[in-house]
Amino acid sequence: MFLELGDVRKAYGRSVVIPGLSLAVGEGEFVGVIGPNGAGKSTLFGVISGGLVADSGQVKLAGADISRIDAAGRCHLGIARTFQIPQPFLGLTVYENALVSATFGAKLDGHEAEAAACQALEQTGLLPLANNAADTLTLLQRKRLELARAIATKPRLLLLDEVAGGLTDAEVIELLELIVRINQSGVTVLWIEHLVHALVSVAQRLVVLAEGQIVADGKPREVLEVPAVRETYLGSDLDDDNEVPQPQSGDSHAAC
Amino acid sequence: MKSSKILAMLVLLGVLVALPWIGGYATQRLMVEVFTLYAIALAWNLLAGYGGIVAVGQHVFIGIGAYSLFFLSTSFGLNPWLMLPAAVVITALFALLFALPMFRLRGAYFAVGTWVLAEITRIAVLNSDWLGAGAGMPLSTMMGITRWLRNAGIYWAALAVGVGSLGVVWWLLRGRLGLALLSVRDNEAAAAASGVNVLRTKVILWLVAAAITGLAGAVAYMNTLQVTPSASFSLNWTAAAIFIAVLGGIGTLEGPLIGVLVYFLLREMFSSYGSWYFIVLGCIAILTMLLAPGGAWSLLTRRRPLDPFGIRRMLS
Ligand SMILES: Nc1ncnc2c1ncn2[C@@H]1O[C@H](COP(=O)(O)OP(=O)(O)OP(=O)(O)O)[C@@H](O)[C@H]1O
Ligand SMILES: [Mg+2]
Repeated sequence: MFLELGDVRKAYGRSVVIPGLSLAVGEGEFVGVIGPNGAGKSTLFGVISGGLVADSGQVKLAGADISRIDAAGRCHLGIARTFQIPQPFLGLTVYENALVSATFGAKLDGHEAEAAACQALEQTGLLPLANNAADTLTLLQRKRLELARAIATKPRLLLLDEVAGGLTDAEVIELLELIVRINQSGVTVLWIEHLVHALVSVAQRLVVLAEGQIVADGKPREVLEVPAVRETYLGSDLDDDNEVPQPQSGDSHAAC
Repeated sequence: MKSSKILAMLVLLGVLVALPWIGGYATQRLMVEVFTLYAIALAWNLLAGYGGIVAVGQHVFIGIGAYSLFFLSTSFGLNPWLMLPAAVVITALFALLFALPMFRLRGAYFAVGTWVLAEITRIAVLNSDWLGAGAGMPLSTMMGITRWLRNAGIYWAALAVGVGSLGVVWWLLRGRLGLALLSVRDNEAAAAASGVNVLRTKVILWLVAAAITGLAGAVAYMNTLQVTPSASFSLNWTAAAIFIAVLGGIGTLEGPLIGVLVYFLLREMFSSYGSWYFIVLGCIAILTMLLAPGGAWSLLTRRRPLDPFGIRRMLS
């Protein structure tokens, strides 16, 4: 297995967010991760990427135990993550933000680093803003910058934490295409997203998390039929059979 | 760089090098203070502005640098100028020794920790007879050197420290380390997630700042010919460095240049007012932090961005 979590536990002080979770992901898989707010999805990504240290249990990448390796070290091993709340380097330009990843994450130098940073900006549509200060970006642009920075580290495992929220349908489709292309180039993808539909249209596997535990795991269509999952997502757009997200009728304009 | 810019810099450098033939001893001694304090403020600003490391006890490196030079030169009868590299190495080693305990401390604890380190070191020196205890050490090896040569030699050393430290910091900021530093300053968690080794970056910065400060301290005390624990391990050094950095603009390469000019201008004009002078300095620093947190440099660059040192990376 490419990524293996063995009975991982994580608590913040007294509140146990992940009581004990095991998960195995094969190389090149495209896994969607869903679950209610506070289920521990982002915490899980933290534990995988090394931003958080698990209280117990094991994290293995390509067979090697990486539990004791710090975030930078895991990035060098090919794990890249986006932050749900974007964490750009506000004092740097958009280009410099991506350059940090290319230089230290992908360990590239000079022109190679520049090229990798440019490519990541190009793929995420940020190239026209390359020389703008990162603190001038809107929230959506910052989310794209998260993605660009993750891509620029040339990862083998890409952890995406709600990168599609707030996008228009056309943008979601563009994003899906980009992630699928990255996945097809051999990158293993774990993607947390509340837009279940978008996720289901591309993921080969869906993992449902609730209270830090996996309540369903398997083919997306089958997982969504599990009663417990339907319960959680009751009233959401699960029953809709469309492949791509549809514009919601009676949009937010009505409120204005 | 434009050739007119290079020409202007060469002319300025020429005038500075020729100062011993132009100006008197008093001017030279003042300029030694200016250049050494500039280097110290540059180092403090490097730590705080680029590494997010607030070192309240940075003066410990001044004492270590000065004592290294005085001890080696006086005990072994060696030329003090030749001991300057040794002062750099010893200060850097001292900083390396204490890097690991210091960097276990976070935020405010680190700031206070550096100050405690400075105090402990001062007290240790104060109780070391081989370092002259409270009376300190003279620089007896200066005896045989003519007054002109001594003053000029110290001045040139200070000039080299000022220009050299700017050059070294400029070179560092333009390179990989600079990019790592900026990312760490802005967001440590994101920097680590992007593959930046945060601790190593900070330790390198700490060593560079220590080396610059130690060298500047050594030259500053060559100027006074006597080093004592209370003066060289004095918080006043760091206070002045902080004032200069805050006034000029923390986290900019240009800030300390402006800050040091303002600092000495104020001192030459108002130092006769005694303690009032310090109160005014403090008020100016506080006002700067409140009204223009980016310092004087941010006021100058508010309308149009300036990058005279060319350290930003632009995509063309
Ligand atoms: N740094 C922290 N300190 C304390 N509690 C935290 C911290 N981070 C998260 N939590 C708590 O842990 C629980 C899980 O949080 P987490 O962010 O992992 O959930 P999530 O599944 O990503 O939720 P969402 O869908 O809202 O992003 C929540 O109850 C949250 O309040
Ligand atoms: Mg989350």
